[in-house]
Amino acid sequence: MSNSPHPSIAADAGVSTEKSPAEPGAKAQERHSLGDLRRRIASRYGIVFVWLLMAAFFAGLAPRTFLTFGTFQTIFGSQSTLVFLGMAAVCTFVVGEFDLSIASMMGLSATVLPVLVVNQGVPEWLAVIIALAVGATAGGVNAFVIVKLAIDPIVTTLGMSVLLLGIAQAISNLVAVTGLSSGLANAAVYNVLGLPISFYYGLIVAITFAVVLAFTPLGRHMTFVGANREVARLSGIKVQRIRYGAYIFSGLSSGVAGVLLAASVGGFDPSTSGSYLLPALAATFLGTAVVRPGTFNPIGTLITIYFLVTGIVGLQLLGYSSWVSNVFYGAALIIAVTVSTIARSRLLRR
Amino acid sequence: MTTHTQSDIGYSGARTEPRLLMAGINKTFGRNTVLSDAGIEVLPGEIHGLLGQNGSGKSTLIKVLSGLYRPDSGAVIRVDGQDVMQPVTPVGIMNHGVTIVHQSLGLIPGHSVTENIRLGTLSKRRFGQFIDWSYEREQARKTLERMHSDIDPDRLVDQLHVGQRATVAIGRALQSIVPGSGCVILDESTQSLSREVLPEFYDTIRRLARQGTSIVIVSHRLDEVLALADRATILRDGRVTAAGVSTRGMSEAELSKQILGRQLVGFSRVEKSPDIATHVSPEGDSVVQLRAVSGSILRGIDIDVKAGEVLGVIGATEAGHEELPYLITGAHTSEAAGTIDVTGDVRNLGSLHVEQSLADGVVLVPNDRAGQGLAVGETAVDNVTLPRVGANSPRGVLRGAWQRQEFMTACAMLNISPPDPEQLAGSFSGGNQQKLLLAKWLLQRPRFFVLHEPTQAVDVGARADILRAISAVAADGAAVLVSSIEAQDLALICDRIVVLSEGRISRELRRPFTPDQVLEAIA
Repeated sequence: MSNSPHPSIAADAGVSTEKSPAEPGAKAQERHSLGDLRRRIASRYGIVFVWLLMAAFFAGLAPRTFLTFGTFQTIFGSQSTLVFLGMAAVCTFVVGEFDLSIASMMGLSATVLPVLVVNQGVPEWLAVIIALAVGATAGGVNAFVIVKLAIDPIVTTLGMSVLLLGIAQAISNLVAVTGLSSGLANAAVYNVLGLPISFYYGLIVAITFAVVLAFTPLGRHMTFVGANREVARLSGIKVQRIRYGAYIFSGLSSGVAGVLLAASVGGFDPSTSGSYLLPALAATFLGTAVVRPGTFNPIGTLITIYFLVTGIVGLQLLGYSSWVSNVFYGAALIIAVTVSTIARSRLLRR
Repeated sequence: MTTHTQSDIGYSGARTEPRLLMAGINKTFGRNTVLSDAGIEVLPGEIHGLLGQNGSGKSTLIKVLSGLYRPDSGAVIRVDGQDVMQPVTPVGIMNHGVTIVHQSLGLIPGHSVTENIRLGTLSKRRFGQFIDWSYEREQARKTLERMHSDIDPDRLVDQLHVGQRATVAIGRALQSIVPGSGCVILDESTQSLSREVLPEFYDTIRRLARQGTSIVIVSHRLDEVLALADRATILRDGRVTAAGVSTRGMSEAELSKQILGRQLVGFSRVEKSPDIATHVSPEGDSVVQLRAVSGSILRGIDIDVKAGEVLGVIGATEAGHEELPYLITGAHTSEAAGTIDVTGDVRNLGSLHVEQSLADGVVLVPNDRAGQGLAVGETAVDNVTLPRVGANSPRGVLRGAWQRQEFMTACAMLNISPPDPEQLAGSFSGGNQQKLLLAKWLLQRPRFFVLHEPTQAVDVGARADILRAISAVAADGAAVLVSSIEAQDLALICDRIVVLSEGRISRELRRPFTPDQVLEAIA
């Protein structure tokens, strides 16, 4: 096996080839047996097979609606907001923290942007920067309360999520604010190879995040802060700084999600922001069953987001109305946590 | 008496049913066979030692008995001749009169001593639907009295030190034993009992056994097993290598030979190696100067450690040796005062950071392996290399080669088994985890190496490897400070031993010394 601790990106390709003669012990070698490789692929990419099966299922039942480029665009073009929210969640989970305020931070940024541009006449580029800063600042407040004042993260971010929702409703006077220019919209929905450019933003962020986690000291430090904070501290890692960073990144990434959302739609209704929380968390938890079983990871989250939306779009095309998405995301969250708990305990018992 | 008939002593002759019989126990985890046709036979009223190295399968055997692990098919578990229904459940085995005190003690934090002792038995004594707390407190006090302890039953278990917690846990196990029957299994649970209460505790055990209760002691302390046990069962690599051999007249050396299957080469080598004892010149320069070190127990002690010297720090419970390692490395700063000087710059202990200490070459191997030493859910190689990933990643890129290299060096240096870098740290045996922890910090190439109980709960084989590695660090020119209550280990590797008492230095011993002299100095 490759020595990389996060085999998610490159190592799996190298499993069978990269057998350095220096590999210690016969046991390590044994593990490269074919059956083992199959099992590893099954446990890591099982969800991809399920995804393909599901797609085949919908294609069989509704070939004329499901097997269209339009459906493909709906699935892959509509989720970049969720990807950035997912990355916000993953970032806090990896370091052992918890952030329930991601959807509200997104909602606040998505509200600040049109309010500034439409109501206040602020230039769009400046409004975007302010909206992102608002997200990052909200994350900083979370960090201050949780890290500095040592308050429970669930309570803190739950409170923050309601607080920020209220602020967003206040500055928008409880109405949806619209009227952003199509120029700004283009920054989110500009068509590249059939998909909006925001799809590629999400892809780039997830891959960058995964690379940072797997191949940089920062990533290793984050992993250990999440695994055991005291071990990390006694190893000389700046634990508090990393926890601060995670919450601030979470706020910033949620802010990006908000800006993309507001820009692509032309405005935002803050009261809808709550509906984004559960899908993001469901994908993040279900993502622990992919790529690195039992571990929060960005690529797993990315894959899961598109897996879940495929199911929902498929069911809607079969005639089920919008309630299926709630049922689907809710069930997925519970199943995801169950699966990842089992995966983790199996891994430890090996 | 020949060896092959020893297992039959008393049993076949007297035709009494064994109190506890486990036979044909097999257990595999994935590819690993942990137990292979293992078993144990305990007679009524005997004290039976269960011995073996870390990873030999002792704990697994006990966990099979307690129902935590399910054995592969074909297992026989019998108490007083009655088959225990399988799969075993914790309650089921308890109803057969078998109580187990695990190494982790199983106390519930945030609750009082009374609650912890009476939990599980509470429901038997109720007036109406309410718990009669004064009655329960009285019962708890009686239980503690039997352990010769005056712990206040109203205190939270969190407020007790480790020895008191062990007393509570063992007392809880003993209270449900009907005199003359049952079986108590002490799985490494005596190791945190303080030295002062041990003789009385041993008396309690012997009295119970005389009345007919069987006791199984799972322990690393060979002296303890020899002093208490009538017979012993020894496991090696998951197999029984000695079933119920009599321990009468056996020496520690014979016993450890049985456990290891070889002579204790490593031990004698550390002891006799002349260069370790002599290369420290008394006039040598001190590389480490600790001044007026104070904490919650320590009251301003001064200690110098020279390059190449191994300094031992020992004391009775709450003497201050437990907090010293953390105070001088920046791990605990809230109550710390005093200074440390390693590099020529004097650092204030009250405001020291671990990063600063590491930069000065001061390295701590903590006692709490799972809490402070290793992240058990991460891989072995990631754990071992963790402190150096920043420094060894040019242009911020973390590469695999040096990490693999470090891990191989660690395996070679400390005989880590299995030498599999990708295995999770938590799935190594206890002794090998301790070696991983030591390797993690050895590879840091410390100037001042501070260790707290580096050989705790480690078997004889791993102990020799660890002691040898610590000696080697000193031989390389580092100053070493070992805080431990293992007089024997300190006597083997130390050039000098400081004895603490109530937060102050009470004595200082210089080589040569014997373990007995060290123990005498504490008392």
